[in-house]
Amino acid sequence: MNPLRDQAARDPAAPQSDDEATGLPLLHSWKRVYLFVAGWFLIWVGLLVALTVLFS
Amino acid sequence: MSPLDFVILIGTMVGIAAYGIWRTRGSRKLSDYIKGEPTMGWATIGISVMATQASAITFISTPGQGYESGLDFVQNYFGMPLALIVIAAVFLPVYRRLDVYTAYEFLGRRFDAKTRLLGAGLFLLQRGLAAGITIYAPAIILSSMLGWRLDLTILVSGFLVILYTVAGGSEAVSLTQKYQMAIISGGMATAFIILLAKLPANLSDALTVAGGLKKLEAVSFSFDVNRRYTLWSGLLGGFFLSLSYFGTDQSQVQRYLSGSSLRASRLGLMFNAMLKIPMQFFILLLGVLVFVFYQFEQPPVFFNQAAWNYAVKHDPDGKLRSLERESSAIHGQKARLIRAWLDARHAGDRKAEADARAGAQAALEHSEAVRTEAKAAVLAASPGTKGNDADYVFITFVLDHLPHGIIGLLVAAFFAAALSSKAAELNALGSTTTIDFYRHLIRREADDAHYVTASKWFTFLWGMVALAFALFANLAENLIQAVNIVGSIFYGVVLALFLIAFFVKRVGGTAIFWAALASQAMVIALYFSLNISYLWYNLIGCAACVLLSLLFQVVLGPGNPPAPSPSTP
Repeated sequence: MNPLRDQAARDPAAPQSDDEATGLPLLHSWKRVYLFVAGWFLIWVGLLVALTVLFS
Repeated sequence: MSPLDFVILIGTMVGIAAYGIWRTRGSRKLSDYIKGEPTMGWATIGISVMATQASAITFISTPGQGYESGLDFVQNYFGMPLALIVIAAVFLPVYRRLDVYTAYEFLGRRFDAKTRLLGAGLFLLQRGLAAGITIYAPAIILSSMLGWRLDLTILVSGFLVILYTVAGGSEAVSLTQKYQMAIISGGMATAFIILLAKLPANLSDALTVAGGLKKLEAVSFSFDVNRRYTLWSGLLGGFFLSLSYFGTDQSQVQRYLSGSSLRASRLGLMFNAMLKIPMQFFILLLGVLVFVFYQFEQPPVFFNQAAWNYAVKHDPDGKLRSLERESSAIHGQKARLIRAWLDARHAGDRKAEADARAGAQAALEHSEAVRTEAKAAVLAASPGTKGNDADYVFITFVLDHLPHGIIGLLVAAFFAAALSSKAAELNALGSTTTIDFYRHLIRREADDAHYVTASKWFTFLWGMVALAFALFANLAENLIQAVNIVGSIFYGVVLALFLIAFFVKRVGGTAIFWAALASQAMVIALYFSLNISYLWYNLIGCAACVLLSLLFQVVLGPGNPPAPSPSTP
């Protein structure tokens, strides 16, 4: 049995030990990457709302 | 299609398949065959995930949706970026640490064997059905428009994808998807540019016309649950659909597990989280601009020309020809009103602009009423025909208005999209059957070569099942919706299995197993008795399964405890 695998299966929400660096400029942590992606999504929703309002 | 178009179509399709086989030739380990060589970077993973989701239906039917209903279908994807963030942050690290071949192996380790088999079985059921649709959908449209035999179109494209998927496994799928996506992107971008050049109005005027005729309503804040696409159904239903599809569907899990590292897999998912909504927006906008184009250029009354021609031949009263003449007269009047509307807008004459716009809107309503009548007449003349011809809008535009060479590129793009998603599905169906059923239940101890051979055979057999389904399929409604409806019926429950596995440690295998069966039966019953947006079934199935599993765990009590875990309270 692989103890690491066994632990991961029984307790999936346990802290991750295998997190790797993002390797991205300015976005050094995964949390920042996720916030950036969420922000990008909000910008697109905003643009689509603006398109709807402007051309209705 | 001209000889040049055929050279481009056959050259790209066969060339990409042959390259995939050549690059992945030689004996392989099971991990290489199912996960691919562990060297794939984030861009390859990202493109592979995108190509798996975007089938030919996406590129043929979505512009048709834009033509018919405008941009509102884009809301269907609003939940996807958020779901991909959850998968990258929570699901992916666990899959990689466990070093699983399939997502359902995780269920076996967290719960028990029967729950693993249930998850894998639900995947095989719904993905097996969808696999038939992904090969049938483009074939029915392209064969009818190009005058090809439907069965031969299905068989030739089906055997091509089976050949390179069986031969090269997961790596061949990812490699070929990269080049197929290049053909698709190039083809769609070319069509977009040519369409812009052919529009009699500039882009600003085209958007004004589209907006005035209600085709640019991208976001709806309505709380009406009967309305198919709203911000809320997109965010909630779309979130659960995407979480289930990307997080638990082996055809996607297999793509991002082939990443060289956790970082590559995560970035591949974030690539999709950022690009999917813009991509869908531009495909829908393409359809909206085709709609604007056909406000100036006479469109067919019914876009499925083969069905129209058949119906005209079997219409002794000449009703269809009469409707065609009426449609033509309305079109001329509508085009004049739209030109007057734009002229008034340029002159700054608000009253004349408003009058002409109101006239154009009324003419459009009249034109749509004639089209509805024509659809009913076509259906009456040939009862087997589907009344919704939206799937034929874009291919009609391509064949009638694009130059030779570009037509071949676009048809190649449609087939590339069909093959890329089909290959990932077959690869996943073969892998799941091998790992979760054959190796788990039938042959536990064998060497890699044996399992690779078994996986090839299972992939081939699933290919045959998909081909048989495609040859005998008779589908309803818009094809992209048919795929999503099948997914929405099963995805909610499958997602609940994984959510409980990840986040609710006190629920054990027996409770979740029976909860899943009961919830799935309930969702199927609701689908046949309610008339609500199908996206809601993702949420309903998931919520029912979570609640029932908690209830069953309480009822089963200490006699059926969950698997022991050091961190279980």
